[in-house]
Amino acid sequence: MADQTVHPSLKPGTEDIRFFLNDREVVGKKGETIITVAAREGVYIPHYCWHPSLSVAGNCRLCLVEVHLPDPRNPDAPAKPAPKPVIGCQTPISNGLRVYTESKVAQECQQGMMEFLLVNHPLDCPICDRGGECQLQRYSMEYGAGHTRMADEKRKFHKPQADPLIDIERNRCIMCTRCVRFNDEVGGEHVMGVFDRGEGNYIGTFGQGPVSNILSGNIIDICPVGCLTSRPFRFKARVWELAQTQSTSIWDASGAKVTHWTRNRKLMRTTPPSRKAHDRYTVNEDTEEFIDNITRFGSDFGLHADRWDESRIRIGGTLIPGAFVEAVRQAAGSLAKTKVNHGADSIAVLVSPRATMEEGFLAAKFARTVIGNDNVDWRMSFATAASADAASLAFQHADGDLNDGFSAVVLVNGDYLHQVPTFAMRVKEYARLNNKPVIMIGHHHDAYFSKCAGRRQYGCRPAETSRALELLSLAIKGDAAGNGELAKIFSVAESEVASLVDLLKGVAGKALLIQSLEDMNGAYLPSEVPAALTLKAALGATWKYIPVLRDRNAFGLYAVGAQPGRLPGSEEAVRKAWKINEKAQIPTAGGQHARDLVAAIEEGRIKGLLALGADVLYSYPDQDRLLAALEKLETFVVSDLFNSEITRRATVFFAAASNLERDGVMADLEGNLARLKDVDGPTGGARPDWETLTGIATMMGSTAFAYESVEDVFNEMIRLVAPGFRGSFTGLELAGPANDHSVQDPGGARRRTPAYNPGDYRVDGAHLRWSSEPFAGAIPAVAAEAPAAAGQFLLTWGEHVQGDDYHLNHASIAHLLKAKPYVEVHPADAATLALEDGKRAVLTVGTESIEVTARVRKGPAQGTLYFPAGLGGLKLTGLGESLTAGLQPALETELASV
Amino acid sequence: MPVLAHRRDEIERLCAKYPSRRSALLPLLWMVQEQEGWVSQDSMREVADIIGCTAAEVYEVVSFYTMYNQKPTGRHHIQLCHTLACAICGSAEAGEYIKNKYGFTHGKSMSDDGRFSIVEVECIGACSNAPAMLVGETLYGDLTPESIDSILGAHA
Repeated sequence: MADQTVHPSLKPGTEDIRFFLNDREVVGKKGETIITVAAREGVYIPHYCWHPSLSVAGNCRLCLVEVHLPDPRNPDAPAKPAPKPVIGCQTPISNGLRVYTESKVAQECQQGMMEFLLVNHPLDCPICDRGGECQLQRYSMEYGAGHTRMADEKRKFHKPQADPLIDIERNRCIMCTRCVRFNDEVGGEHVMGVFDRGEGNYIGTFGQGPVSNILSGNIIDICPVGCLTSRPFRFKARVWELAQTQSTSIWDASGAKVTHWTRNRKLMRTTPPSRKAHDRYTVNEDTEEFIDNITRFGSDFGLHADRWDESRIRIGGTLIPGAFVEAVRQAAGSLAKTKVNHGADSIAVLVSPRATMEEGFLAAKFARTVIGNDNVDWRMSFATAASADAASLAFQHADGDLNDGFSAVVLVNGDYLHQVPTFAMRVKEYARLNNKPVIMIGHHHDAYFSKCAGRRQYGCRPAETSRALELLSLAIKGDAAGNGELAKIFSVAESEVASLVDLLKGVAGKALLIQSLEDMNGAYLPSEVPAALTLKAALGATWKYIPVLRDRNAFGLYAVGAQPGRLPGSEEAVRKAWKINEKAQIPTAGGQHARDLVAAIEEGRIKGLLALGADVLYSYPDQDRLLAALEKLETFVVSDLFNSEITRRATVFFAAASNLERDGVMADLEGNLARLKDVDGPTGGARPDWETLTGIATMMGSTAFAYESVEDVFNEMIRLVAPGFRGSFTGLELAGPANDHSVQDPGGARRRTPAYNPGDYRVDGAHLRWSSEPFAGAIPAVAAEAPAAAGQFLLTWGEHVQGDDYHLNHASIAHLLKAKPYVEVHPADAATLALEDGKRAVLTVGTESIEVTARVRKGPAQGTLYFPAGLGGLKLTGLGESLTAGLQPALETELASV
Repeated sequence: MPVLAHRRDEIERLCAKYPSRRSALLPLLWMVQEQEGWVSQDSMREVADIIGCTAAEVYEVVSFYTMYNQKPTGRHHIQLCHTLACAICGSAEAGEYIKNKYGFTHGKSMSDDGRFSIVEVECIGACSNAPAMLVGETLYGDLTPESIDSILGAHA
């Protein structure tokens, strides 16, 4: 395997090197390879095994180029041809080198290599699923001989059915090992390998197991040939028949951008925005163009059989389909009636965390102007209202951007890979390739970062995280009195704490403090967030802060004021935009927190509910209690996609537009905007939520909802939220920077992409008037942890993107996308339990138990277990309080039956 | 079932010889093979855990070297040379004789009683006594049907 720590294209020196590329003098940096400079200079060198995001393997030999070397003793003499051609991907440039990429020798090499690669490759492109977007096919046309001299029988492999999502057809493999390197370097584990040798060489997984990580689908894209193909998409369509729509993921809060490939409005597949990830040819590009498996395979939930695509009105006991206008009238009527009967404060508005910023903005405006209260929220899954407020405090201080790079990163808690997959991937790849320190503090550490050489882990009990951060900030400010306590919390020597403090103090340049708001539903956030912000203030102005929440548009909804106590802009601006006269009050206080909504309904304080998306209600941990509460509502208007337990309790149901049918903007963790783009409008009687809200508001007498398109909403919203925004709504349609020059659409026409300046589309703290002052608040104390009974472990958890999820449950292959339940155990605890990594065990929480796979790793602290909530159907209904759990190895007899 | 659990001290001494534990991969696999006669998937997982890599990485190595047996062997493992010198001097006939005697066929390389298993190998460096074979670790040359009978007869 190639050197995995140094990526030549990402590790250039500073010294200039002058050399000649096809007789043109060019300048590169010392340490750069021929192919990276050529890519930058617009000279195309064909390649298979080289990939800008992966280490250099140098085994396909297609990038062979002719080089002439200068005589070091006589620099004035003409350069002499090297005895053999060299590979462009691994050969560093040197002064005076003359490189010929299109000479006779180079062309003969390319042709010869193509012939070798095709010796065993079947020549049956018409029946191959990759046909039309295959690099082998393309190079065959451009660089191949056009005929074959191979007369013998070709090598054939049996075909394993190893992975439910990825099809491996080894006969087509050209042994570029991109998939092996991807899993090893980016995916996090060396699960694929090159087996056997010589002619018998093949790629596969150990014991023909699945390629089980959340990023595995990307190997389909980076495979240059038809060896690895998507099983759900296989033979469903030809790529040139499909229309492409640039959009964004609704699962991944990292803001992953995607392309939806549709035929007759039906989603066929989802890929990263670069239409041909396998054919990327740009330099120093980071790994942003990889997406997680949920986004890739789960985006088709709008096609589920349970979809209701007509509005429904409750008449008697049943929901009767009706016209949209009728439903609007009904909803407006019932909400007005509830308002008159029980007062404005009896109505609450809920917004899905996957709603667009426009939808959140309208919901906020609707509550403040039409209903006349502050009851609008999206934060239902938090442990308490206080933790939801702590998350808002975190957002208020968010100022980090991963695109700026970092010289060190501190990660507080978090199962990042399974909460924000591509964000975690970008952090890890940057740290790994640039050898930056990764410091993990808290009760759970993500094992995904274990490949980073500069990794340091400091584990503690959940209740101690905030104290640890507080002591650390004191130590950084020079007060070493707490070092002893800190060493005790981390169970390390005091010298180790001192070295951590020195490391943090010595960080020069930009650095990131990243905190997960997800763990244990944020039970400890009220003290953890102030503690993290105190640490950030102590570390100094070069440290930036990124809070991490799994909810896709959490940041955007916070920005547009879709939560109590927050307006989308200054009161003056809002008053002007919303046409509220100066005497009237804009309600910004006393709002109903979503987390306490169920209690408020039970107590009869809330009588009417308008929910944009049932998924927000589904995120409430205790579903039985929620459903009982919904029955008590006088008015329950819900706009959603599906016939579900929740929507069946509606008084008025609006058929919402799915992720492929609506348009709008979402913000990611770093405040960057991405456009969610509709493919071709909603199906049947479905309507996007902005139309529904506009309709209801207008019907209830408001004149401030005169929007003709979602762009109107965007324009009003963005002027309030980010007055400095320089881009445009249509500009956001470009899902990302214009891609490489070499890629052509399958149809043949080169797509012209207008200039895209990422800076234009960034909503940062300055635009939003967020606090740039260092945090100086108090850190609330945490209640001491109750000692666990003998044999019991303290249970920690975090939501897992592959777990129970309202939308994911409706994806066509949801059963393949859901992760199998597992529990992470500290090695010391595993030794006591006689439990080995990968063995089955029984996890017992209260009266419920579930069979899980034990993963032995130093993720959770000793004495605690980490369980990804939502896996395997184990209900953790007591969320927010500390839970204890028992763990026993599964019996041998059970083992045999697995 | 872990097969190296009782040899932890020996393993640690071995790993200490190298700058990185991963370097102990080949000798560890030899340990497994000497003890068990072959390297099973379970033992590959075990070795992976010992040296801190994935089972796929171990299997990459095991499948690369033909001298690691990936299938169980008999009590006595016969390695019959079929390289040039032995081939000229009749290793094919010797092989045929052994195969008929113990019922080996293509795809069945172990006798029913588990006494012998056979594999054809490249040169074992005994060209002067071709045709030659190894039974376990002992070299036998100048094979004839009679000598094969007596050699194999002596291995119970």
